[in-house]
Amino acid sequence: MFLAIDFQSDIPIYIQLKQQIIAGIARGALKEGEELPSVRQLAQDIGINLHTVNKAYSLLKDDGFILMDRRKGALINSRENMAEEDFKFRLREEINPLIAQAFCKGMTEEELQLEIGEIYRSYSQGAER
Amino acid sequence: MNYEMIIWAIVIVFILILFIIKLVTPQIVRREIFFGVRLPKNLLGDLRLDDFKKAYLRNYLSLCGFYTLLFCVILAKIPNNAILLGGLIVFLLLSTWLYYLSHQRVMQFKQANEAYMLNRKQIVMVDTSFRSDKSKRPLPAKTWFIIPLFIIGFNLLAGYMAYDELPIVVPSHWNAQGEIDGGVFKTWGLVFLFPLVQIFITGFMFLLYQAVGWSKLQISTLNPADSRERNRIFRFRWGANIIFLNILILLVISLLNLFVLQLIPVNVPVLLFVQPLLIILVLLDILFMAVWTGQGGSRLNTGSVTYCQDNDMALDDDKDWIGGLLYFNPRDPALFVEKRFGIAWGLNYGNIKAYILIASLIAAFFLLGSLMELLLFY
Repeated sequence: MFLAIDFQSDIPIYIQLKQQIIAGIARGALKEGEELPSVRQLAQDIGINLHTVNKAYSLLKDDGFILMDRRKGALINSRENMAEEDFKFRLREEINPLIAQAFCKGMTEEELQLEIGEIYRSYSQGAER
Repeated sequence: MNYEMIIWAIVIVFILILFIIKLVTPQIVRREIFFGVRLPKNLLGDLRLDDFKKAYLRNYLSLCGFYTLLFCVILAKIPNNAILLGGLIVFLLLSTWLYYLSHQRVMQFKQANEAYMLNRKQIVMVDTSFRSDKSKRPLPAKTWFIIPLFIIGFNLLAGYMAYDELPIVVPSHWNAQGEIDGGVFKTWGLVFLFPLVQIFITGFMFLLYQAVGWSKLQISTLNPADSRERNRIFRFRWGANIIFLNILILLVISLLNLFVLQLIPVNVPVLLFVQPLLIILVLLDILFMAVWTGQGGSRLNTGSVTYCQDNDMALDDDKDWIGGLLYFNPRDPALFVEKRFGIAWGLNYGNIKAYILIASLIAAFFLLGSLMELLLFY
């Protein structure tokens, strides 16, 4: 799967890496058991510090998206292992300020749900393939 | 019969091939890299680029062409090693200077059009599956190196078989007239001499092969899927070519070994010409690879010419390239990087490992020299 890292962006590179890998898993572009490049190789290909890639990988590992195998390196985890008990609580926390913004900008509840539905389907339909 | 003139004729062919390699370099580089400058998409089809290229070719053909002609004529009249070495250095300086003039003109051209680049995303593309893809490998299998190992084993066996029959003093050097002018005492060291050289060469070639795999992945933002495939074929072909050259060089050394071991009768013309011809062959091979594949696979015909329509552009990394020739980026952990204006890969001179590597290679070269001496005289 392609990762496109934006060097001009305000979003730190390790966050970009993390978000794009999660999106890839959701879309089905990264399948269970697939190997990710080693930390060193990915850092060399992008041209960034090893710590940046390490940080992204350890965040992904903490959230259960990848596994660290001693021999094969970073592997995509299974969907079952990604499930998390208190995710809803975290989601609420993270999405809250965005919804507040949407409300202030005059979006209706319907419009907001339409947007969310569209994004969700872009992943769920991709994953079926 | 004096074979020296023929050897110098081969030297002149060597110089002419070098001239052609430098001549075709602007034709084999990546589309988005022009005379060592990364161009944004809006400038790629610009007609003025053709003028830059024509101006370079005109200058090169007249200046370097005239110089090369002069150089060859002088060498033909006064065949001399010092003139050869000095002349080659002047040739490299002259051609690099001509390149640099074009590089600066393209730089100015880019700066004059930089409005396009403001406020645009600057993207670096990578592919997570590039190296782990089992069906489309970026390198031929390592097991091909069994062939060089087999050749080395064959040479050791030949030495073992020939040892008893060897005379007390074994002829080991021939002059340009084809007369024996050097010999060594028969020792077991002599049997290991050529295999030792072969082992060092194979080790070096294996390192090059690995470097092709390790080298930084550069995917064009213009059409990532197409660029990825070009990259893969580019690496695969060079990896295969390294193995091919390794085998070729080892076979030539085996031939020399068989001559010295007196397993086959010495054929003087073959003995004298096989090494200079090998150098010519390697140069021709590199020239062929460059024109056939291009940097990053730029000369491959993939049938895909469509570009993505979005506004992202590739990260502008011109500042990390000294004169568009040498990569110097201390923030980048990569060691091997595809050359911008040239053939195959170069080093990241901003990485301390580059200097360690160069020092190790020089050390290995001297180690080989002293090991050879040790084998022959002790």
